[in-house]
Amino acid sequence: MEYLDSFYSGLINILPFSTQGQSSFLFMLLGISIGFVVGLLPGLGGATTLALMLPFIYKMDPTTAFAFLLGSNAVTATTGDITSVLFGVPGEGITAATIVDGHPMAKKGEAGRALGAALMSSLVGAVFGAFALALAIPLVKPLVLSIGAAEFFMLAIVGITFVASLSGRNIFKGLTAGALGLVLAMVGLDPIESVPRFTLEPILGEGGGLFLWDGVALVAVTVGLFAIPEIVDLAVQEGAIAKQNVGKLGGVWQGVKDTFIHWKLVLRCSAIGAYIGLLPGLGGGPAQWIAYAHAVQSSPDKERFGKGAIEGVLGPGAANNSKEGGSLVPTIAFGVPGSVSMAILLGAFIIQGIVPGPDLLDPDKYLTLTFSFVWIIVVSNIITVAVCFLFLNQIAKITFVKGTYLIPFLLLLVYLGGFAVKNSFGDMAMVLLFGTLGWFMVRFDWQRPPLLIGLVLGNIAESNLFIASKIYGLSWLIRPGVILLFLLLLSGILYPLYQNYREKQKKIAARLDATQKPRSETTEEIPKRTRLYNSLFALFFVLIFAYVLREVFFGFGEDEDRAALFPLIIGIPGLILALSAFGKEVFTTTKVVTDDEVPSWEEPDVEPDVARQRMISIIMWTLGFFFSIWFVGFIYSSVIATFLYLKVGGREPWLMSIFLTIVAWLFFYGLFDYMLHLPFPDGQLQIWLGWA
Amino acid sequence: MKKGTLYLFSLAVVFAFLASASSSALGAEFYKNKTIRFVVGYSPGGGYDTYTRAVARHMGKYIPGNPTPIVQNMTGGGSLIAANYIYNRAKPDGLTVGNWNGGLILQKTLGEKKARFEGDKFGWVGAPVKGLPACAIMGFTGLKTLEDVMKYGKRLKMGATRAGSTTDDLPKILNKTLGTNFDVISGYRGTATIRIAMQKGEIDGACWGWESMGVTARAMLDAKGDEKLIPFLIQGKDNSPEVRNLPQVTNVIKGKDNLSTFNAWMATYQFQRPISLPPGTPKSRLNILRKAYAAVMKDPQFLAEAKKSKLIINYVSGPEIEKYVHQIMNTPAKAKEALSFLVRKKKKK
Repeated sequence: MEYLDSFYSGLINILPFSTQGQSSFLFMLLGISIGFVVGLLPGLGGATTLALMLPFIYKMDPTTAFAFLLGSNAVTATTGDITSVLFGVPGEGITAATIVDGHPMAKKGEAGRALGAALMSSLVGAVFGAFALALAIPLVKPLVLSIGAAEFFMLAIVGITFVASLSGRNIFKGLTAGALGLVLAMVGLDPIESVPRFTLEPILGEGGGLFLWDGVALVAVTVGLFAIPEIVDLAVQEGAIAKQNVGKLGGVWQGVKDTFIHWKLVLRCSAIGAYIGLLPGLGGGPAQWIAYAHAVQSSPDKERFGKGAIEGVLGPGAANNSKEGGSLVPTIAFGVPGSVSMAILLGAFIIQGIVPGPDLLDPDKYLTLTFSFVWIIVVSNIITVAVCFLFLNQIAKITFVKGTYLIPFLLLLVYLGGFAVKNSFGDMAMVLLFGTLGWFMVRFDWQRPPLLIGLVLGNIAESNLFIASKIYGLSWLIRPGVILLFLLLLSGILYPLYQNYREKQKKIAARLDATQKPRSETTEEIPKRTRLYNSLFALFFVLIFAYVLREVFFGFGEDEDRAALFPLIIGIPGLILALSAFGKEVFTTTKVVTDDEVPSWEEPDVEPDVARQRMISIIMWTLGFFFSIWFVGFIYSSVIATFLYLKVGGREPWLMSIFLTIVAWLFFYGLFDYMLHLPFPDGQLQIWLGWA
Repeated sequence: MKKGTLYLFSLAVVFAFLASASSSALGAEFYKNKTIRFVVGYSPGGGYDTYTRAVARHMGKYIPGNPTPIVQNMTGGGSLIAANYIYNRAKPDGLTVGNWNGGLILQKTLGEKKARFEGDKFGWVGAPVKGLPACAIMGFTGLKTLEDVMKYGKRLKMGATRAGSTTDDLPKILNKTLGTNFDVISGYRGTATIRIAMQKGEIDGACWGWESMGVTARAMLDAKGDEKLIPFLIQGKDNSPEVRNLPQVTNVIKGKDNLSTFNAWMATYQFQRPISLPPGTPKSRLNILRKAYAAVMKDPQFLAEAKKSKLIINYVSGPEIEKYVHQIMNTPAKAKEALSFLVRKKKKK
């Protein structure tokens, strides 16, 4: 009964019907507006924003303070999805998975539908996560303590394998990309003995080597991998992001309906998100990908994914919101933050003089506050989604805006996203580097998600494997949780194989059954040149793993065997997988084309010569923006580079060019410098001239 | 490029430069209308960042001319990038101050080649807190005191993050100097995950700063029976009941060499999260900033905020830091050798 009372008061305390509620509600609205913008902008992360908001809560009462902070944090994942869908640029690190199918939908002209689905599933996920939090409160301890180092390691491996095996036809490519992600995670100081690994000092010099001590920044990789190829594509195709206008079918309401048509999936993915959020130490990244993997695996028709399947939007959309509620659980119950945002929120508890732990679960102390958290997440998401729906059809129209107008903004934001990670040009260079890799991966049909998930889970896998084997010896292998996860892993690999087998059987049956119209399958020869390029790109992966193994055997000092162990464990299978992928590219001479393959959006035919010209042009502009930011800094670049791109690159009329340039300037100077006081660095020019 | 565009381009450039030049007009007081930049060597939200942002918020009002403080995070190499930047690249004009790990001075003394600075050439402004490294053990081990721990027959599993952190270094140093029998389990992501591992019984205990343990592990310190976290050893004075009467490390270590080994390591804990100026900064500006820093440490509003945030404040002045820096740089050879495991020396196979 006390529980229900607290549950009810928790809600009343944040609704504007009492003095307490009014103050909470007002600050929650403020928090929501901040989170709304932060979620939309790829340059700003939820965690950094929370750190900036923290000093304002000193004078607030606890409920108001958390309405402010949590309100902001709860909506970043929701509005982050919008940017991911519209531009293929992740609005937040945790909304990257929405791109994979959401952005192709936008290209098909279904931006509205994708947004509707993303928002609705976000809402369902948020509510699910919030109530999972409420329910978990009485039994939180066994839930969080259920999983030890050995299980964490297995969970990481399951996550990587699931995502990597999505690649359907070319499983080698998927697993190779996953292994590359794991290798990228090894860059920097190793997590046990702080031995620098793969910091490329001989090539980059000491400064670059030191920069890599911190490892490869996830945000820079995500933004680069996904956004740069989209920008190049947009420029080459010209026209708008959306290639077709499908009218009503592409509308918001269709997306909402989709959420309820696939309600089972949405709930399952919400549960996945909440549980992963609940496990401290996994961070915000994995939930979305594991949910995405689940969406693909549970679908009978995997071919559609990556080309704009609605389930691919619903899954991660739900999971990246439900994990918020989940990740509050360990923070509240143990004072153990599940992610960076939660670590900062923990600071807020301390400022408010609240000791996370039993006090927050005690009806006589802070239980009401804990239930207010639940309601803050629910209410702020309802408000956000409602506001979004008012404008959603308008927002979706941006995908019909001429690409030239969007490109300078996208380029600036993408670089800002990389830069803002650690305020360094190094991460901007990373964006460029991984943008190039991403573009090649798209071109040669390699999956990008496994690389990301490998990068996210690499360190977790390594350090937990180390801890588990140090504490339990080999006996960690027979812990029940490990065995359970191993079975899950097996089923994850075997089930798709079984499905494939059944489909083949069906096909054979269909052929035998003359009454049914057989699928017409034609075999096409792959041109020699394509094969050459495909093989060369696969060779690139082979070389990377060869380099890793070379370092393992010759690059480490004599006391550094431990640091070399995980690179060895990953390097050998990585090399074998890459060689297999390479072999497949070299020896596959034909491809099967079936006529019932899902049609992707209509790519307008661009003459090869024109395409090549545009390609060179956009590559030069991408480099040019980078150089400009390095040379004169962000603010001046927002003026100079934008104007030059519009006027010289896009041959837009004067008026339009000047107008958009002013918008860019207002945006970068007004928002980031004037309002948010983000310290932009001076360009080299200012430094040389001594104005810095 | 067309002529018109070129013209407009140069106009834009000239305009931009004029705008930025006019803002740096000379004032009567040096700091007037200036921004003072705090370069933090760690990412937002961490301990360094939290302390320094709190200090920065209040420091402007104690500097004549009231400059605007901004905090910039320059992460990398455990703040080595920030330290090297402050020493070698930052302008010594008193407008850029650094906030990086003083432990790097010990690293440098022990032969870390990537540290490109001389510790005693920085202008040391002050530090907000002295570190209080402590070790604690879980109730389920049945042990309660240092004596129990020393007598315990089996190896105690102590959780740690990674080499170079208190959690990792301190138990190893205690094994060398005090003769404890700790098995250091490294690889945990932070003290938060170490706490969970202790509750799961995966590890028996851990060592880290009491200033953080007393706050973040509060619930475990207050627990009872098997789930209670029991501190048994500390270095430094604190009045909390859990640690008030604990043995001090320097009182239990025997032998001159052992003691000087521990002291060399401990000296880096005497000034935590310090603020420093690039070498060659005018003495007058160093003094202005030292005074302002000391004033912040007494500012009631700052102290109230710190108290609310549970940031322990025990101010260490610039001259005091200089003393510790000298002590670290003059570590005796024997102690250096005992501590040499703290720095990696790359020996090729």
